[in-house]
Amino acid sequence: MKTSARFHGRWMPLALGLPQLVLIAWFFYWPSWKGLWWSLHLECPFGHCTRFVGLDNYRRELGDASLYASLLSTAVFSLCGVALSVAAALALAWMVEFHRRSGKLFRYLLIWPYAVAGSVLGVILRAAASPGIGPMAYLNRLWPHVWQPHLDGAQAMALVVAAFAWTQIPFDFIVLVAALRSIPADYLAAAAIDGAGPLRRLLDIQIPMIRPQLFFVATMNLVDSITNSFAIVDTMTQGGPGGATGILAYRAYRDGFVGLDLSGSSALSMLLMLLLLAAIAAQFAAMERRARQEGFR
Amino acid sequence: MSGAAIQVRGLCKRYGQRAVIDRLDLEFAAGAFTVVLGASGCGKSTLLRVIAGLEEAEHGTVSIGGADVTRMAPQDRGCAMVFQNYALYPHMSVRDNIGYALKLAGLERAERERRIGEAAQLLGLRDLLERKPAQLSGGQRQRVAIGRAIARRQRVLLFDEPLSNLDAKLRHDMRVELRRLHDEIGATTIFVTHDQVEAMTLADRVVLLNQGRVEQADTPMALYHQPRTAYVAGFIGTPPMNMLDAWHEGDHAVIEHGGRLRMRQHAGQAMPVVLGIRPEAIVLDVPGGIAATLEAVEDLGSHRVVYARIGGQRVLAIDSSRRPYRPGEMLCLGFPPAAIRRFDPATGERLPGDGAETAA
Repeated sequence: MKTSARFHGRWMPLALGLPQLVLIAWFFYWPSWKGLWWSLHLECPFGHCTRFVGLDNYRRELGDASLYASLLSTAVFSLCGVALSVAAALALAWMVEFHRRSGKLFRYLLIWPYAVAGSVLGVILRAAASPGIGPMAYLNRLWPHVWQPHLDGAQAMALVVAAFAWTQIPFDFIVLVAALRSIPADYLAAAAIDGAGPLRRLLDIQIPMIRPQLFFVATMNLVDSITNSFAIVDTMTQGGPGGATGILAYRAYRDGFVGLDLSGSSALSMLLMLLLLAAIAAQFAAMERRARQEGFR
Repeated sequence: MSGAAIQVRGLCKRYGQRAVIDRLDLEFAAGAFTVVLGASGCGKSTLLRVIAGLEEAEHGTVSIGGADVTRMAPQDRGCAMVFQNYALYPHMSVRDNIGYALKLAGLERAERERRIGEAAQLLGLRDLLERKPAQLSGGQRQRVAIGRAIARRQRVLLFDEPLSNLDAKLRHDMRVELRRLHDEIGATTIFVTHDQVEAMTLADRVVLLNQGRVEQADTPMALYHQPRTAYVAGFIGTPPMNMLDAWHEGDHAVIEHGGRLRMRQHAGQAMPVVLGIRPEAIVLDVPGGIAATLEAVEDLGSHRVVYARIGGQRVLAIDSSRRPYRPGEMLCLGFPPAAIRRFDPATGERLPGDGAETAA
């Protein structure tokens, strides 16, 4: 009997990989190509023809002053959202790891929110955080007008950041629980004997040792915050108040699907992609440098 | 720095249904080097971890320096420990590994540097202080782990099989060095190992554990010459003590197919015994000795190990002469009466009155 797991011939492996290839081509390469194509073309006013306009769409987007406000709110949203997701997930994972016996139940419970779609969550949180109904209304009764996310840009931003973190925490949590569990117990025992309490062990031993996994979830969160967060904004704030939560992903969505400016929206998407690539490249470079310094490779 | 005495009283520890440590009572004298010896699974590492506070005692108490520490967290017990796999923090340099505990203890920078320097000096780590553990060899990591433990100057030093990941030569060097360090530092040291050579060479006192119970706790020489049970006799020594079934009657013992043996002890009525004799105590070629058939000879250069058979029982002897051997030849083995130990075949305990208690 052959024990090799390799498939021979050309067609069998290809056939087995086909569903995956079709999905990637359909949902990633085709839209990306379409996006690139649209960003370089412009539809005629009454839709009879399509003109190649080169980089005109990019010039138009980059010349729009509101883009920079949107860029700023994206930066705030992404950084706060990623930081909050990772920190909250780490805190939860640490507590579960600390109480290993009860850990299993919490591990199952904490993955559930991952199954909730962003738009559904947005609707729920919108109701929950409404200043007139829901628990926050009590706050307003005690201190009138203290909670008004529909008027206060910072509060609106905090709300979407919290909602975004809520969607990311389950995934981060699973990865970080596994990461914490993979640390050999002797390191923690050694640290305990060295005089480190639970919190010191977390800061000095556990976090440095799970840095690669922290980096991984932070990158995944960042990608999600830039590309995949328009549903939350759309259902909760619609970019308001006054554009305070008008992050780039939402702007691209609104320009394209509401404003029907396919060319501008595509150009914006391409810019977004470049931004994301740059951010990830920077993250990887920082990570590599760190790893080299520590003599791991 | 002086050590602190450690007392363990009525200690029990179970994993599931299996008792790993069963009502253990032990004392470790202040400043002594005690080796806890035993086969794998005998509970020796668990005992160490309970003393360190890494595992909770189910019943019983642990006290260090007279204070009950049974419910204390590891960091409050005043122990330092060296782990089998060293457990050096991979993201910290050698300097930070050694200095981490000192920093947590709130020592000032100058004092920390002084102590790190001292430990590095003592262990020959001066040139390695800036390296990361991944850049060190096994022997160097071992030294760092020991340096990390001694730099803290705790009253108690715990070692969990620290030499088992080293090759034979390094292990020998580290043994000599550990004993020297202990004499210099004077902390109470508990050293867990399955290697009897480490136990014999390092210890002031050896505690031999068997299935969670103390089989014997004594000086290495007492364990070797006056084993309290057949288990101890069979565990200590390379090769271990020969154990031969025999009948003891009056002043003689009879080994089946071997002949009669003069004994120092007197048995009022005939009884079965197990006779124990060290291989190196057996004299070869004694006229009128016990008849044995030669099976094989292992030449180790300094001496030879002779494998022989008395009836159905295997017996090993050490021979330092250069006499030639033929497989299958008949040997006459002399068993000096003073070297013979008697054990109860039912309980494995040594029978009293072999008259050699003072020989050690």
